[in-house]
Amino acid sequence: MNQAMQKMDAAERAINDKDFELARQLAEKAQVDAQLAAAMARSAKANKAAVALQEANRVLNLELDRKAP
Amino acid sequence: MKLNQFFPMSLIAVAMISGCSTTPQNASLAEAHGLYNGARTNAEISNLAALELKQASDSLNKADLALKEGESEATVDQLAYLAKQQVAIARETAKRKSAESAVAKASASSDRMRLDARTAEADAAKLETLSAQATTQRKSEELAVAQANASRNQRELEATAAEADAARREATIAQENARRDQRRLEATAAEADAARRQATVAQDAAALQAAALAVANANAERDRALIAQQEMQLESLNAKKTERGLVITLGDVLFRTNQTNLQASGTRNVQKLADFLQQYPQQKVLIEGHTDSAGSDSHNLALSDRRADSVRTALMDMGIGGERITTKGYGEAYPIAGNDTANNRQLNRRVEIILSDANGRIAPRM
Repeated sequence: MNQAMQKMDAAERAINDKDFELARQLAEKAQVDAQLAAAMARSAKANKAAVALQEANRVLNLELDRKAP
Repeated sequence: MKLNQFFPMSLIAVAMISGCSTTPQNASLAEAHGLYNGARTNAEISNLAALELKQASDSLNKADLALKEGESEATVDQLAYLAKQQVAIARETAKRKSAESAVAKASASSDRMRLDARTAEADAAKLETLSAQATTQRKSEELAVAQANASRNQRELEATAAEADAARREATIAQENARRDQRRLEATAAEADAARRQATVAQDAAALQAAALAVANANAERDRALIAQQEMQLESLNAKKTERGLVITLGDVLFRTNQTNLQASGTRNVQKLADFLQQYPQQKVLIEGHTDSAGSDSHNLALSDRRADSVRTALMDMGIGGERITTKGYGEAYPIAGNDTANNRQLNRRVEIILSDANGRIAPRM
């Protein structure tokens, strides 16, 4: 995400410098960087949820096993 | 041969090199191609992030086209960077979806575990209920069987009691029958005994009667003989039948005048009487003395006493017991003739001997 923000800052600077080609390239990069960052964040969140659920299931299984005679 | 073996391999290598060489060299683009190929061959990424992979592929094609048409290196690098980042996005998307799928699976798994646990609990409860029902059913059946047994036992007991009662009644009846038969038997035996006794008695009676008849006949014969003999003896004693029985009169001539001793002829008469009395020991005698009217009464009474005693003494001398002889002097009280002539006076001077009946009784003088 930091890379995306740095690229966006650079793109704005390029616009100010009237280097519109560079600004377009930087904006494209910033967009795809941001998309990647969002995907990573969502995947990390999902992974965290999966791990937590799996742990909960393990505990529940243990509990049920213990409860069973 | 060895050359031929290696030829295909070298052909492949040449083809690969030429494949790469068909696209002009760009380090960034090559790296992007490598990353893309790695992602495409990953089944998870190609399945879960097909759209993102397609975007990466489009960017790669654009980059390849830009390089082929000799556009600036910056443009190719730009497109290669986009493709590289899009591959990363596809990788992350696949990871996310995989994790989400794992979440869903875990959630389903936990739900299934809970459900399984609930189902197991319910099954256990149902099983317990069924077991309890079965136990109840079994207990109920056992109870029914026990009740049936008890009922059957009760009926058997009652039947046995009834049989015992019947047997007792039969036994009682049999005893009564036996007693009745016994009584009948005893009665019959008693009747038979009685009949036998009666027969015996009748026989005895008949024999007795026969014997008695014989005895009676014999007695009659003897009595007749005795009576005949007695009558003959009494006739010789000059016995006369009077109201008082047989009377023998000893006349005055048998005594000396005014004497009490018997003369010889008188003694003979007395001897006949003694013989008779010895023959009939039951007979008793009353000896009465009588006088005529000559002399005083007291003298005549004493004389009559003495004469009667004289006869008694004579009889006792002849062996007759004194207890069989009674004497009485009457003096002149009972004359049998008038005292007017000497003959009649002689008749009055007498001793009368009254014979008793067969039982020794003598009728007293009136």
